[in-house]
Amino acid sequence: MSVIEGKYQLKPQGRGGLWWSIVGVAVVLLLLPTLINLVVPDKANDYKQLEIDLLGVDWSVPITTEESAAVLCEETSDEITQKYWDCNGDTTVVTMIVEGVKDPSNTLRRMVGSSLITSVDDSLEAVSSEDGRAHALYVPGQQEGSLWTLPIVALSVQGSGDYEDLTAIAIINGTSLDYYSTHIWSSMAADRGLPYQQDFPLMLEEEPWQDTPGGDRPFELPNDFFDQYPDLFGPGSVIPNLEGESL
Amino acid sequence: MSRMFSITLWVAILLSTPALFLSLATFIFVDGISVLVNIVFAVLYLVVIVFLLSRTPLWPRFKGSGSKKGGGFAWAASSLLWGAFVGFGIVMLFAGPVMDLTDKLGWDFVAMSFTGAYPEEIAKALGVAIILLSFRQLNRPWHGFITGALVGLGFEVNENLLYGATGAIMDPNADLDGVLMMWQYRTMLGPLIHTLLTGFAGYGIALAFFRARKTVAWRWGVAIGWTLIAFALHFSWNLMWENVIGSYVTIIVVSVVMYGLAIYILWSNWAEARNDSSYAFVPGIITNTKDLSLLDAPIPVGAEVPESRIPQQIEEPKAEN
Repeated sequence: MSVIEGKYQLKPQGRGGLWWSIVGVAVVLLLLPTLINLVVPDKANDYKQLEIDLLGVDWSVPITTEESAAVLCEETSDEITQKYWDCNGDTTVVTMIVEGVKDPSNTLRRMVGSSLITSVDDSLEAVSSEDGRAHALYVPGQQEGSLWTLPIVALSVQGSGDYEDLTAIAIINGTSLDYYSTHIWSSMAADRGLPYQQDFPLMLEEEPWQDTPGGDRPFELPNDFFDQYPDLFGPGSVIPNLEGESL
Repeated sequence: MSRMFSITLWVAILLSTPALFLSLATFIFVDGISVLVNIVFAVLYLVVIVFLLSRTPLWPRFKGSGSKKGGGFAWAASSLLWGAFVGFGIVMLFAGPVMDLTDKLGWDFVAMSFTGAYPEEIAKALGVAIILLSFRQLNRPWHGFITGALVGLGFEVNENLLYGATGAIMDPNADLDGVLMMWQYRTMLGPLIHTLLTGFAGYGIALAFFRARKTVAWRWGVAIGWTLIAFALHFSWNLMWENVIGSYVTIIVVSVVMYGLAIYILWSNWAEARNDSSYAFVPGIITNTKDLSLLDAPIPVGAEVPESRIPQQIEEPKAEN
């Protein structure tokens, strides 16, 4: 055996100190943004014009009123492929631009499922605009166990020219479904050079809760609910059988 | 194996197991065939890259007396697991506030750069440092490069699996189309990005640990410097360009620097690694004082910083022709 050059050494000495140094530096660096984030004030709001767009694509569909005023919503999440908007505090709008749509009904069903994490009946078909470039899909409110989901509208419009292969999509879910669905549908028509005033192709339910007891929305409890069911909030309480009872 | 670091390593891996279930949970939303294709691609990616890395002389050799049989497997497995699950878990914990902060500040252009590069490169580099100090057979700068590459590979494969599942869910036509498109994108555009970036950080960290006669400042400088290179490349790669030209220029520049640097590290260490015979594979135990005295290596003339003498490497006896 012979000695090798002294270019390298074995493990550094002082393992306890080294451990604290390495882990300490990493923890401080990882916590730094969290601490800064705590002292940076929240944005007052992020209201902006509702728009269907995609980073790196020049084509977009701005949503306006008939008088060309911008429809404003708060952008709550800007992911690379989808944007989530909180509109009027009671409705969620998800916007996106996708490429290479083969079957608009299939695409709208898939996009509703992926953006709102819900299952959509494969038998649901979208209705088409007269020019065949825009499509609308209605997903009725569903009962899942004791919960009801609000109805969903999904709208799409195909791009033109350089954007022929692109499709702008908006998914609307909430109590202001009618307002946002019709404005987006009309804005999609305006994007194709058609008049803003359009007949909305879907029949939206006036009262999606008509089959529920009393016809009220299940989450709207009567003022005297707590008085009616005091045992519900005690130890070992059970859910009362509300079938046939008016909430 | 240093107990303090090895305990940290295995406890962290144990604690990160919930991250595995989070990864698997994405498969619930994807059809069976697409899940299978996604997993097959991930396994292929993993096996091919590990095989190629193990064929280089930079791959640490765990054979020989004095080292446990299977120590090499524990090292490779822990490196991959750190990247895939501990790194992923740390990012899950700390990326949220970074994203929130960039949103508050309106830094849209660099939002994904900070959210992605900052916690990810720190989490992976931390793993490399802990692993290098957990296995005594790791004692060369190129061992840091390979360890970093494995940590990065684990992270990359897990990320590709998640991207594959996301691609499936987000594809406008079919789950399988999305999986195939995402794997095509991840293997054609910036392949091995995490593998190489963490390799760079690992190389710098190993230089800091294993180069003899260097100041503490030099050691911190070289470790942070190489980790910063990884961060800067990752940061640039994630920039949110609104115009396509900006994206293309970034991809080209980052690719040239990243692959160029990887080739440089391989090229500059290849011969030394091939000829190296470190103590990790001493052919037998030391049985006489003559051999023992050889452990105390002389400090070469002109050394920059005298340090306390520490055991140096013993060369394997050269075969007589």
